[in-house]
Amino acid sequence: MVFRRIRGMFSNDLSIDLGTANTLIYARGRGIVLDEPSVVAIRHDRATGGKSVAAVGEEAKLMLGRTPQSITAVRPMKDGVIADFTVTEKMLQYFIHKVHESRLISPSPRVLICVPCGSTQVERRAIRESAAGAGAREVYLIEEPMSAAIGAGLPVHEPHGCMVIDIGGGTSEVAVISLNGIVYSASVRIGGDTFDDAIVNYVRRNYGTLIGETTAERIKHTIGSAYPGSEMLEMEVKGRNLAEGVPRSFTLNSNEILEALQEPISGIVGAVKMALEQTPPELGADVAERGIVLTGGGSMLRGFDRLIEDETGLPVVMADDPLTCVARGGGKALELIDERATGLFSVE
Amino acid sequence: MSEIRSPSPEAPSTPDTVMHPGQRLRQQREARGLEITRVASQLHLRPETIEALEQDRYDQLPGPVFAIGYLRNYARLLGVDPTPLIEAARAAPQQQKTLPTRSRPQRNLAEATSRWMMRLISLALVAAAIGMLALWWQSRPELTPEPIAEQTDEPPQSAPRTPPQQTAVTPSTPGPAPVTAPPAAPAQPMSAAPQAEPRPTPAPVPTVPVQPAPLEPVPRSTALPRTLATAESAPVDTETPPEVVIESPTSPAAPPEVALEFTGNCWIEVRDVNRRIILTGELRAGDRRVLEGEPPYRFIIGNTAMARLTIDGEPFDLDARARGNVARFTLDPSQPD
Repeated sequence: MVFRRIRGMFSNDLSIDLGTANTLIYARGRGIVLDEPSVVAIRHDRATGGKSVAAVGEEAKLMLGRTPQSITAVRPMKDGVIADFTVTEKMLQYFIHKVHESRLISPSPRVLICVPCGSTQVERRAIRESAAGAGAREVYLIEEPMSAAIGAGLPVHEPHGCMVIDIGGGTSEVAVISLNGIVYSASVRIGGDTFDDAIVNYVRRNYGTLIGETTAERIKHTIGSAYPGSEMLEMEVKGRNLAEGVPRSFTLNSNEILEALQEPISGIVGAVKMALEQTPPELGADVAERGIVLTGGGSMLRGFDRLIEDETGLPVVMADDPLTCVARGGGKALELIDERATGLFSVE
Repeated sequence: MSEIRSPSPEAPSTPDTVMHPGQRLRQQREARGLEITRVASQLHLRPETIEALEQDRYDQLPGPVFAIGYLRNYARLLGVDPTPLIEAARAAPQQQKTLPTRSRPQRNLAEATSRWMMRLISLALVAAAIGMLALWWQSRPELTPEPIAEQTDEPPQSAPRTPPQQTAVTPSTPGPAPVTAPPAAPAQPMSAAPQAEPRPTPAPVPTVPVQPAPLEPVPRSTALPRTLATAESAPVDTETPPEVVIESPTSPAAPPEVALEFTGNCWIEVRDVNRRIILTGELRAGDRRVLEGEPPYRFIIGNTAMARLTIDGEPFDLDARARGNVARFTLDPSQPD
């Protein structure tokens, strides 16, 4: 305990956005110091039957879908929560060490982790223990929408309602915040990964061709769109033709992707409408006056803000650098820990 | 300057207009013939908000995130690239108070330096603590044998020192220190005995002239008249006689022979009860030394593996006393344990 405290003096306090798709780390006083995919490649040693970590992050993501039998590239997080406890712990350990790379003393930082507001107590405890196992001295949890709102620069402490939508890799969160607290929150298990799956399914159904998740993600980034735009984008894609069993190339356009994404997007829109219905009228009026703030990597899908604006009839604004909002908000909350222990942090 | 230029609609991207994003938006809106109310309804905002945007009055907007967001949406509606407008809005002086993130790094810097100072100070403290611990640890093996030696040395030294003074007053009764003194009080006459007795025996003969003679002639002389040696006889030179006190129980018999044999090179130092060196130096394989002088002996044996200690031919376990390969201990041959 004492040693952890001493080591803690040589560690930076960290805010971790442990996302399904990407893990971001914000170090106090240094800003965003790590942004890597939440992927771990595990090597199976057949001789001893043991497992070892082959690669983590960017390097492991390149291995996704391209691994030999002895290596498995896995995403230890699923739907915003831990799917594989041990691998998550290893991944966190790796990231925490990477952030403190140049230090002699092994780090023992205070860590704040963002959790989906829909996560259960068991899931939260798993995240807490996983971080503690990775070397954290103290672990705080904060709900993602709160962290996202702080990171976006919303005046969360004011007695005004703010609505924030955070579209992550595995989950999308909608919350109404006022006076440092969450008044209403909802979480749907739809996110960037769901968009990728939808694209994979669409291509298989319409082109009889199988594409991988990585290709689907690339399609989403390049020509994905949630709202019909004036220009149509095209992209050449290669995949395995199911009928012929041979790789074939074909061209996809943004309208097709818009069609492919209809289902997951309508799920998110439904959640937003539900949130507006459930919001107390005073706060609802505030939201109508100021608008909805979009954060999270998924909100960078082309035209997503216009779609929400169209569907709700309310102003929708996109936060600056939406991908890092949650981690930055966690970092700001971390700075508040010493000043005043607000009700920002969630209990287990 | 910007006010003069602003009415002219064809100056879309000069630096002046970029400095005032609201003016540029208004120009674009007017160029397209759009009313504020129409823009407001399309953006789902109030007309006052649009006016505030056009007049760069960001303090009337709910917050920086909304101000930037509204600007972006407005620019997109008019088909203008929002990036330069947003940058200009961020750089605008009014915006500074609504964008607190700009001034934050300074606080962070101060915070970071104070944290570093804390770290440096704590590192120095930890280093100092480790250093002191290391010093203490290093000095420990030196210290530990001494208390053992003193324990064995002290009682005989201190005990006899008092009896003579007291016995000077009451010669025949060594009254006040009977607890420690039973061996000590009668020791003085007895102490003479071991030294007097060995003389006839052949072995210790050479020691008598070599060691005690130059420094301590007095005890010898007092020691000789065995029966005359009462307590008063040696009140001054108490040091040598009392040390032999320990021997007293076995004094009637000859002291055991302590011999050292070597099977290899070994550095050794042996001191007698007076801490005088009776044997020192490096001894080689095959050497044998019989210790002379008054026990108990204080040994420092540099290589216990190559040394063998016998007391009257009985081997003595050096390994039990060794720390590493070096043994430091005090041995009274009459009481090997």
